Amino acid sequence: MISRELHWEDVVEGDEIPAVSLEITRNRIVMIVSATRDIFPLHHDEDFARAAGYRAPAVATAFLQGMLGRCLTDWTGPAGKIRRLSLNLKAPTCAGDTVSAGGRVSRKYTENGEHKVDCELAVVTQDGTTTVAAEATVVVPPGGGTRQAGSD
Amino acid sequence: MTTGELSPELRQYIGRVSDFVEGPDEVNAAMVRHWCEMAEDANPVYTDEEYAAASEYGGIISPPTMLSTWVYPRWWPPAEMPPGAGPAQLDLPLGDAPIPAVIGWTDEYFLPVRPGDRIRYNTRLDDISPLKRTRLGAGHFITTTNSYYNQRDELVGTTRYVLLRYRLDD
Repeated sequence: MISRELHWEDVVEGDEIPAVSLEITRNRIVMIVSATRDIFPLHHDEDFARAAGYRAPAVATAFLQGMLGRCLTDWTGPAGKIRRLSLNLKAPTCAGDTVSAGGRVSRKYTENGEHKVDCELAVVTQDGTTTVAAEATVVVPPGGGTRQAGSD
Repeated sequence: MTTGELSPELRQYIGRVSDFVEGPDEVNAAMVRHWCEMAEDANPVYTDEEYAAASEYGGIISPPTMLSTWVYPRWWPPAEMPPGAGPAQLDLPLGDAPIPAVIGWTDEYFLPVRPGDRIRYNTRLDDISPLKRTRLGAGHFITTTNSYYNQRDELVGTTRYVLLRYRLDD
């Protein structure tokens, strides 16, 4: 259960968004194929992946989205709303890797009455390779439990 | 480095929009749980009925990042749709650049998606580049946008893909 509840007033540009880490075990490869429904052999078949020039099966991009999404709402708490998530795929994320997804706050602003935070994120492997550079926009509710006057 | 102009044959695909394709299953709590297990995502609005019911959503919602998963085709039997329907209508004659690689993937989320929703989508081909030399090989950059709607015809989100279709260098 997530207990934290981030408030927009408490966000400072440059703040760290704590990284979440997952090991891409064979079990996780199976879970990724099952959960994303993406059965393309590159994502699970070693022979297919090597023949295509990869060092090992490469995970579906949808998994990386899921991991980055989790990183964001672990940070904001369940009231945070992801509005935009943009991934730039730099290198494959493969079976056997242990990857961390984290980042920092790049901008804080209000727009159309919503309290928004832009984030710069990355997925990094155990040897420091950035496999994904990402940007996100998240709505983070203001504190106090009531709408603030003039917030629109 | 551009190695040529875009052929008229390929140029005519720019701006085309496919027919709609509906996802094989309605949005459901079991698939949401499988997704959360995969990412070890403990956000209670996805999996805790009681918490979600008391939240602003009034019930469980799908992780927004699952959006494209709801329309992923069934594994079996083959989809019952006319040949060439959906994104296949936008299949480009790129026999010389057969290998796909996802370069960019941008989602925007407008409305929550909940168990019971039926999601359908169409695909627009936004752009295709002339053949270019890349690190992977010679290829075309292809930009498409999926637009996802629920059963009330509300636009719940979009995905903009940048795909490289390439061939390995000899």
